[in-house]
Amino acid sequence: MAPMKLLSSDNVEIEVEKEVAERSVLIKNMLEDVGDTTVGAPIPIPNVNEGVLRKVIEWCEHHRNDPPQPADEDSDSRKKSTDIEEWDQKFMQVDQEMLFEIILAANYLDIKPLLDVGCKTVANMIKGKSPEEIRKTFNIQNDFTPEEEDQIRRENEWAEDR
Amino acid sequence: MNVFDSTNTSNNVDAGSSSGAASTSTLRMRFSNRARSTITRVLDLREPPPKRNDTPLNFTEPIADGAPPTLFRRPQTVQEPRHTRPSPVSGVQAWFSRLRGGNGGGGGSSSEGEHSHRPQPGKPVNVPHEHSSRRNSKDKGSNGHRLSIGGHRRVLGNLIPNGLGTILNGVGGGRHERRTGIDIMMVFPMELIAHIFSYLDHRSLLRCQQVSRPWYSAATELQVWRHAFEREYGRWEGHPYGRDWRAMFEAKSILGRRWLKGQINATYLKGHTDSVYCVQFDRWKIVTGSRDQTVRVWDIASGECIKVIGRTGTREGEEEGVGYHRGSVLCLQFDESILVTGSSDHTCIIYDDTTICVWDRAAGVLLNRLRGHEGPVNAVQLRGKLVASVSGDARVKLWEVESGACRATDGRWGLAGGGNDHTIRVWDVGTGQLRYEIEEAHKSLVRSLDLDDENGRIISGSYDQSVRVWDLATGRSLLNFPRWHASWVLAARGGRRIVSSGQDAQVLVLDFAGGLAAVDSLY
Repeated sequence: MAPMKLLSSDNVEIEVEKEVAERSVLIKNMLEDVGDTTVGAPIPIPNVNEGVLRKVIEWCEHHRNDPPQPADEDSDSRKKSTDIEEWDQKFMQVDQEMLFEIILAANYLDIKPLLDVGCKTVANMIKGKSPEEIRKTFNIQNDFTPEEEDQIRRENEWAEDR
Repeated sequence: MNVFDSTNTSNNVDAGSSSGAASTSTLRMRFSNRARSTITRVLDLREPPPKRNDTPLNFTEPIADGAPPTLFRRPQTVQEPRHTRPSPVSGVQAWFSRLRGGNGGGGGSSSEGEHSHRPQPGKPVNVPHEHSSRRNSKDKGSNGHRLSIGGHRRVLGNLIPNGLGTILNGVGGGRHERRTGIDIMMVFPMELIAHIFSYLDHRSLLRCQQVSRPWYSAATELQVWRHAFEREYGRWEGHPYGRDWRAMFEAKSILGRRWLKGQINATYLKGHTDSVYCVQFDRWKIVTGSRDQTVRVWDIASGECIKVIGRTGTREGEEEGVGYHRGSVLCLQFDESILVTGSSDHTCIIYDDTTICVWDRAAGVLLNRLRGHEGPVNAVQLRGKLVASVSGDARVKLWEVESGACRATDGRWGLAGGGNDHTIRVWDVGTGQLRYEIEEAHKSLVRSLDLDDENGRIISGSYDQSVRVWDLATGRSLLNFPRWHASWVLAARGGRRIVSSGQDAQVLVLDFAGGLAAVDSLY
C-alpha cells in the first residue's frame, strides 16, 4: 500500500498508509471519488489538529485488520454492553478534552468503531454516578430550582425500589 | 448560586495562566487560503458532497451553546452564573466564520477574545432559561460571527425545549480530570449525546435527568429511551414510530413490580350458565368456552358480553350438527382471523368421537372439522397456520388449518405440562428434554398452564382453586392467588392480565395495569 499524506488543521502533514487512512469512511469515499488525482497532495482534514489526528491514526493502525462492522442496524450493537476491549481502554485513557476531540474527529471522519468506543467511554464515565458526581465529573452547574428538582424526583419515583 | 465559590475562581486563574495559552496556540485558525482552496477543490468533486467546505464543522451544527470553544480551549467564567458562558471566539469558531464568511483575516480576533471576560450588557438578568436571552448572549459573544449560528440554534431549540440554563463555568486548566471537566452538552451535537446515552440503562438516564436542564432534555429524548427499553425488555417487534419509549419503560417497569407483589384489580364476568372450561384474550376481548356449550366473546374494557357462539336458550329449536358444539367447549384458541374450539360431545361418556371445530369468527361459520384424536381434546394452540391439539389419548397433533390435514403427531410441542400428580414440567421444545419439574406446585391436579415467554412467567391454575405464577427460567414460585374462586383454567397475555375461569360459571379478570395509561402502547 502506498503511503499517503493527511494535512491536519494546524497544517502538519502526517504520512499514513492508505489502508490505515481508509478506516475513515470519509477519506475512503473521498479517495474513491477523486481517484488518483490526489497522489502526492496531502488530504486536508480541516477539523482535526495534529495531536488528535495522530491519536486517531494510532487507533486506525491498531485496528487496521479488524473485520468490517456488520452493516445492520446500529441499535443492535448499542444493545450490547459498554465493555471495551483492553487496548481501546488504554487508548482512551486521555484527558477529557482529548477524549472529546477524538469522538468529534471519529464522527467527522466517519470511523464508526472508534466513535462507538469513544461514546462508550463517556457512557462509562456517567454510569453508576449520582447526579452530583456527574456534575463534578463534567464540571456542570446545577441550574434547577428546588421546585424543579422536586418535580423531577417525583417523575422518577417509579424507578425506585420499593 | 453558590456554585461560584473559591474553587471555581481558582480554577479560572489556572485556566488563564497554565493551559490557556497553550490551547490558544492549537486553536488558532491555521490553514491558509491555499489550503482552503484545496479542500474546496477536493470536496467539490464529490457528488453530492456530504461534507461541504462551507460547513466543515458539520458535527457541530446542532451543537450546544458555545460548544466549539469548549472543545479547544477552556471557557472563561464571568461574575454571574446566568451570564457565564465560554469565551466565544475560538479557533473553531474562527474557522467557522472564516469558512462561512470567507473572511481570511478573521483568525486574529480569536486571540483577543481569549482571556477577556465578556460581560453581556444586553442580556436579561434572572431569566433562567429562555431562548431569547441565550440567543442574545450567543450573538453578542460570537463577536459579529453570528451569521451561521442562527439556524443551528433553531435546531438546538427544537431539541432542547427547556433551553440551556447551564453555562460552563470554572473549567479548570490542569491536566487532572477533576479540573478538566467539560460538559458534554456543550461539546457534542445532539446526535452524539444520543449515541452516548444509548449505552445507558434507565437508572443512569434518570440520574442524568437530574444533572441540569440540558441534561434533562437530552436524557428525556425518546430515542434514547428506546435503546434502554430494548436493552431491558428485548427488541421491539411492533411499529417503532411515534412511541413514548420512556412512558412505555415506566409502564412496563411498574407492571413488573405489580406482578412481583401481586397488586391487582379483580373483575368477574357473568353470563355463562355452567363451568367455564377455557379462556383466551387479547387487548380488546376475552373469549371463553363453557360446559354450557357456548363460546362467549367479552369486551375486555367494559366486561360486557358482546357475542355468543353456540346454542343458547333462544336457539333451542336449531338442528344439531350445524356447527355448534353439542358438548362442552373444552378448549379454544383464536388469532387475528380465526377461532378454534375443541369440544367433547357431552352426550358421549367415552370421548372417542372428538372433534376440533375451526370457525370463522366474523361470520360464525364452521370452516373445518379436524378428526383424528381418540380422546377428548383438552387443549389447542394456534401458531400461524398450524393448530396444535392435545388430547386425552396422550398425543399432541399438529394440524394445517386450511387443508385440515394432520401434519405431525408428536409430543415435542408441549413446552410445559401439568398433570394429575400436582407437578408442572417444563420441556425444551428444541430437544424435547425435560428442563425442570415443579413438584407439588399445587395441592391438586394442575388443570391449566399459560406460558408467557415474553415476560418469562408460567401461570398455572389448579383444582385446588388457586392461581399461581412461576418464574419460567427457574421454576421459582412468584405469586399465589389462593382463594379467588374455583379456578380451573386461565390465560395470561401481554403481561397485563390473568383471566381465569372455573366451575362457578364466572370468569375472573385479574388486571395488573389499573391506572397505567401507557400500558396500552405496550401491547
